[in-house]
Amino acid sequence: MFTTGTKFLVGATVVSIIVTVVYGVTQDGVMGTVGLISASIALAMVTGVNLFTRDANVFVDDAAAVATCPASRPAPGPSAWPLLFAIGAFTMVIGLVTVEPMFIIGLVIMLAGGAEWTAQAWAERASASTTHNREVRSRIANPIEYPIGGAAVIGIIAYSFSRIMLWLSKVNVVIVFSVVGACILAAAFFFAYRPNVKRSVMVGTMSVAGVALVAGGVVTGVDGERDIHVHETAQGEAAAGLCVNPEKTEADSKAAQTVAAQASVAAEITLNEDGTLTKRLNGPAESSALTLPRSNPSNVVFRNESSEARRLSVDLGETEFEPDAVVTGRVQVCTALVEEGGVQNITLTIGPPSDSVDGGYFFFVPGVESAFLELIVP
Amino acid sequence: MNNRTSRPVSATASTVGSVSRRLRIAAAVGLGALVAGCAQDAPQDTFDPAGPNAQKIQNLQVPVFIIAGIVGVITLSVIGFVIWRYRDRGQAIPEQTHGKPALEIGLTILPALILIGVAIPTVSTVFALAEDGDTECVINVTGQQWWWEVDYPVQDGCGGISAPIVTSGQMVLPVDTPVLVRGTSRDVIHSWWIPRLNGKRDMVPGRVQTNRMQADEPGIYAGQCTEFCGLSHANMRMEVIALEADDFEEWKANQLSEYESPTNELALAGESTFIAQCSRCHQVNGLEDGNGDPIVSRPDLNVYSGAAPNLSYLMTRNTFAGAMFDLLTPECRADVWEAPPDEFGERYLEGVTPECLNRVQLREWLRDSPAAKPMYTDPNELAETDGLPRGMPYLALSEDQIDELVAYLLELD
Amino acid sequence: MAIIERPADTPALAPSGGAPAVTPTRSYGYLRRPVQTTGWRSWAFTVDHKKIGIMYGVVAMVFFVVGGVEALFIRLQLAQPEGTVLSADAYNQMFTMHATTMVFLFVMPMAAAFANYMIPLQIGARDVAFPRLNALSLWTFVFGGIFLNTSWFLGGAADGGWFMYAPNSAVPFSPSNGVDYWTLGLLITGIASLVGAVNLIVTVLNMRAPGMTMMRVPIFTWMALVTQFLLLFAMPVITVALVLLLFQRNYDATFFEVAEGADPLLWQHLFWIFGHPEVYIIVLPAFGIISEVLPVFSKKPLFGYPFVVFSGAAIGFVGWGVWAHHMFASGLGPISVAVFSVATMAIAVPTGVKIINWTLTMWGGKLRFTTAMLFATGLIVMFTIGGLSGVTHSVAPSDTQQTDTYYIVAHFHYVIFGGAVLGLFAGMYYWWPKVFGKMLNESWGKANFWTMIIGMNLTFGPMHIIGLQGQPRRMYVWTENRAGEGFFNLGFWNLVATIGSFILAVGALLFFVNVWVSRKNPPAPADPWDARSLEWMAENPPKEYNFERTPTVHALDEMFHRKYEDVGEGDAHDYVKVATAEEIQAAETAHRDPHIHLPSPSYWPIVLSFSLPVIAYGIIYSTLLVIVGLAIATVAMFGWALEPPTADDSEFDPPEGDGGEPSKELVASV
Repeated sequence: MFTTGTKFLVGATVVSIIVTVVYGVTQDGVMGTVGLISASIALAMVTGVNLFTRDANVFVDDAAAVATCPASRPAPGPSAWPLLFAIGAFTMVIGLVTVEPMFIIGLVIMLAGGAEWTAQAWAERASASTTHNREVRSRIANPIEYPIGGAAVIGIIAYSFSRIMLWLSKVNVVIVFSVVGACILAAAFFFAYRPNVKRSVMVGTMSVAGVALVAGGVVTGVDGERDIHVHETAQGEAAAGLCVNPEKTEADSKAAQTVAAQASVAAEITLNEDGTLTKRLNGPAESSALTLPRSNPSNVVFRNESSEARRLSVDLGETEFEPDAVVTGRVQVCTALVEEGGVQNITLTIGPPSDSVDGGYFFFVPGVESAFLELIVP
Repeated sequence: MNNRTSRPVSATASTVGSVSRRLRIAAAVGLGALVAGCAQDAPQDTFDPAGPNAQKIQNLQVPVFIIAGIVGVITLSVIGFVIWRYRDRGQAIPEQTHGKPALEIGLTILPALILIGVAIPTVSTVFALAEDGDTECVINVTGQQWWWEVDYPVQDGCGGISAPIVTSGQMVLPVDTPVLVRGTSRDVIHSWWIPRLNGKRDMVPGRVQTNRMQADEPGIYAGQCTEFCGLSHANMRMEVIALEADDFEEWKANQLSEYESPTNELALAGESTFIAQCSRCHQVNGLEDGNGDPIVSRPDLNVYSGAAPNLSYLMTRNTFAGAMFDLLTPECRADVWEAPPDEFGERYLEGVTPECLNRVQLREWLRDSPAAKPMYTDPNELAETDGLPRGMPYLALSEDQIDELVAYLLELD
Repeated sequence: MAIIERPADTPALAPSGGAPAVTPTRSYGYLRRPVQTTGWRSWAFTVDHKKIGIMYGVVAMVFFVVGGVEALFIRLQLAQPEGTVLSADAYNQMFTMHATTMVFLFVMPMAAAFANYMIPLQIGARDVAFPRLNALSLWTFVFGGIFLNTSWFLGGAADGGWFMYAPNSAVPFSPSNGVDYWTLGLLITGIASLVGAVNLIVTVLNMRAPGMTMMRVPIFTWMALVTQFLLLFAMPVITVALVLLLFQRNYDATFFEVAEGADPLLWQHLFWIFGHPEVYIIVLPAFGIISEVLPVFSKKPLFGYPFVVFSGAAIGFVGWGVWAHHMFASGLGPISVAVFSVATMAIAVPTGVKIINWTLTMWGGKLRFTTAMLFATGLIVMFTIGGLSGVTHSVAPSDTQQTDTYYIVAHFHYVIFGGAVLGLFAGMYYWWPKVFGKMLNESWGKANFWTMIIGMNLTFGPMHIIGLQGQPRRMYVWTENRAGEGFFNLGFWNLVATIGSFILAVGALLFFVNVWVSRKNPPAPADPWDARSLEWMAENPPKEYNFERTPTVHALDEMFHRKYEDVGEGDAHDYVKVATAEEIQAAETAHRDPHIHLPSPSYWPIVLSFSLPVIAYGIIYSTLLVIVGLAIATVAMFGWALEPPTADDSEFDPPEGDGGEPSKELVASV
């Protein structure tokens, strides 16, 4: 029952626990105790495994044992995992001297190869029955392989596809997406209605599609995304004097606001060719001034109908726009530069009423003297 | 006060209304004709239109209710007949028939035909109600927890408005004039609903929604926020006041009149209490500090929604605290609410006189507003709103300060 | 827990040429399975669809009581103007949780209870396709429901209404953890619904008895199948919405925050794309139940079975195209409003077809008004009223006056209480002898029915008037100033509704009284109702393996055709009873299957379910708890996956001799 190896390991475990306790009680410092605790745990685990496997204690004169002993079975078949493990290790080392992602990829490959290798090696020695061993391997490895593998495949497909889509122009995206979708649908229909089609045909088709997708993803990913035009809005950019500058383009981080603005526009302001500003609201014409509610985000759309790139600016007087901002000069907010014929949104949230500053609030366009529109905030 | 005289709809409309009322209840409750003494219905009765938009809805929903009622009566009669006729009286086991397709198809097409008959006028009414190109006046409403702000932008409509008018709780509009209500919200979704003038319209933050309103005769039209908006949703009421053109001009002129400091001593003390305690949120147009500079309220820095009611000309309104409370005593309130149309404008423009002031509730409100109306103002619970209350916080005013403030508020007319 | 297996018994030594490979028979590495047939373990770890169905029903009834008490609080508060029973905050929590409890924790699980119990019996199967998943969905629902309701004691329940409109559900407007409990609780019960849906769909499609084509499937199973498909597609939508809300509230996302450029209407669209099919998820199982009950007590087949099936399926499809009728006041623009208005009217057609078919089923029948039949007839009448009031506000302009008023409350209570709940009660009276082997008392049952129907009409009938008089929903108080006078005044009708709600509560209570009174009834006969479908070929209550032998189906209403024979000549029909249910069952027993494969019980479903509320508490309170929950979940998932396909014989108690029962060779399934 207890063989030499087991006796040795049990003894070592007991000793290490005693030493740990003694050391921990008598000595200062944490690191030593931690190390000894770790050693105890490791030894205990090895002891447990050894006990459980009966120390591989097979007597040569036990006829039954010979039949059931894995060692008596034919040698196991070939395995790809050592190769994968080596590739991982190689990639990892290359990664150490080149780029970090390569190191991570290598590490992941090595870990995956190592895990599979371990599972296979263990399963091949689980019993004398190779069928049984295969089942055991599946049962222990599949619950890990399937989720991780599935996630990886989905990730690769999604990432490659997104690279391709971002590389194509806006128009081509629609075409390619429709065509690919139609092809997938057609292929699915074909295979569904021809159940006897050869497995190799199906696998071949899928492989070609997969390789094409990944290759396309790599190529387009390396080439970079198309130019994505951001229709930006701007607020609080005044300090830089941007809002009186008729030329400088400045992007704003809150580009997403244009999405909401399409549904919820408080007013539309147009810079006409004759250099005047006109406003449009739903409902009957009000006076020449524009009224916006106080302290509530209002979307104002600026439409540039003039022949030059222009921006719409709002002058909010000399009061401090934000309570703790130290702003010298006038408080202004503005859109980015809008090309001719272009449209942009600006979201205004104005706290104090317009009659609290001298001269009130007004819209203007830098570089166009005649563009002026009064803004009333009650 | 008999409601049929207080709401002179044209004679034919009135007949249709009372017939339809019976039928709709028959349809809705399925109890047959509930013949009832026609006393005054609730002020938010949905079957009592007082303007063209509500009338369009009425013209559609009355026949729909009648059709639904007839279909209901027929269906329930058939079921009743079957229950009575085929109960087990020892008859033989019936034929095991699985149905007659022709009958089935016929009985499928029949409801489809009825519904097509309902669908056509529905679609045309939907588009007719969306029409607001003929409006002559713009009024903005903005909802926030838990009151409505009403503002009149500078415009040529509404008989010309030269400077913005801001009020709350009550929307005053000229009678017989199509008005475009443009609404939004400062925090959560609220819903603007004056049942006698038009269906409801949600006021969604970030969106500008429109609702056409037109009142046929002077009067007061009750409404209520109908989209659940939190703690005091039940208390978020509003009213539309329709005035004759000259009365509306008078109201407008008063809203734009110059501010005058009160002359009596108590109210003057109230003015300084107001400046010290109230003016950081509540605007009173024309109020000046010691240096003669205008006092600009900053609710955007002091309240989570960013707004507090503008209290200029408070006593021209009949309600306060999100129209939860009346500024008028019950008797004076009844005078306004039950005034016949030709006297209504005069009574409304009287405003709140000292005799009519509902001092009890106004004082309670000033004494401890969170106790009078559920709101989130407990300083210990405002971590999630950057310390800003949602609603009027407890101000720890002394009884003397309250006396002064009441006297001062009475001067805001 | 080690995962090692190897041979235990040793074959004779084969000296050369390699011994024949030995397949191990003993397995190590997983827990001994909880194979007890009595005691709490036999319930907690069971994978038997009948026990799971009963537990679904019991838990749902508990939540029915909880939701009912919440409703009574609401009505008490509104009995008088300026009510003071509840604070505004408590009232808001009360109506939010009333709706959430009734929809997600009572009606849906109660329908799941019937579906679980009856579908395998009705299609002649021994269990559902995935018995352990079935246990998982039960326990996930139970833990989700408990989790949701613990919020009452941990800082307050959700207070945003069951529709939880953004942005009112955001942290600044609902600072307590209630909305988080609501979000996570519904995510958890959503998992239960999804798992159950997949399971039952596979069961119905794959496990029908020989001869049972789709057009011979009993109508309840059909309606339950449509319901499961609706669940399968609706749950992911609400899950998306809930996850967005969860991230907004807990991880600083801004999906519904206007200041960041979002549009709060996104929530409304997501919620109602789920929410409208949800209505059909709620009512279709009840429709299925009464489509079983009516033919039995009319002694006639369901009139137009294919029409009822296809109208159910049509509702399942068109139900996806009407969600925006909940948003007519949201400002969608006239084109959307018109389209959704017309689509909403269109869905009234298949619904009307069902009412017509039920009426024609009774037409010319031989009607016996047992309690189950009374509830079924009550459903037809009440649902007709609810359906017609629904048509009145499918008319969008009219809806802008009625939406968010008590008229809508009246409408959907006639649909949900009058449609779903009455149907579920019909099912309980109808199938009680099947499930428990005892009849429920008919006198108490009739008292139960009439009290409930009177209470219901007194509660929800006046709400039509209250709503048309302009009283909005979700108001914690109403005021005398807006009440009016005379016959339609709000004061009187609010009081009537409150009184009605208590009568309704008494009616519901009578059901429990009936259960108590009937507990010692003698065993029910094999076929108390002279029923028509396959489940009555099993015993009352059915054995663990349902049928002595898998039945072969020759017709729709198989059981009826085994009992009766048409001896009429030509067009004349004369049905003669040729066999009793006892004789049919005896014939089946005589040819019983020698081997029956049944799944083994398992610990893992309940453990995995338990990890979900732990993770949810962790999301609210502490990341550490999330890790603990994830650890439990991981252990449970791997324990589940590693459980071997064949449970060891040694795990069972020693066999009790043959005893006339077929030997049970237990085979684990998924």
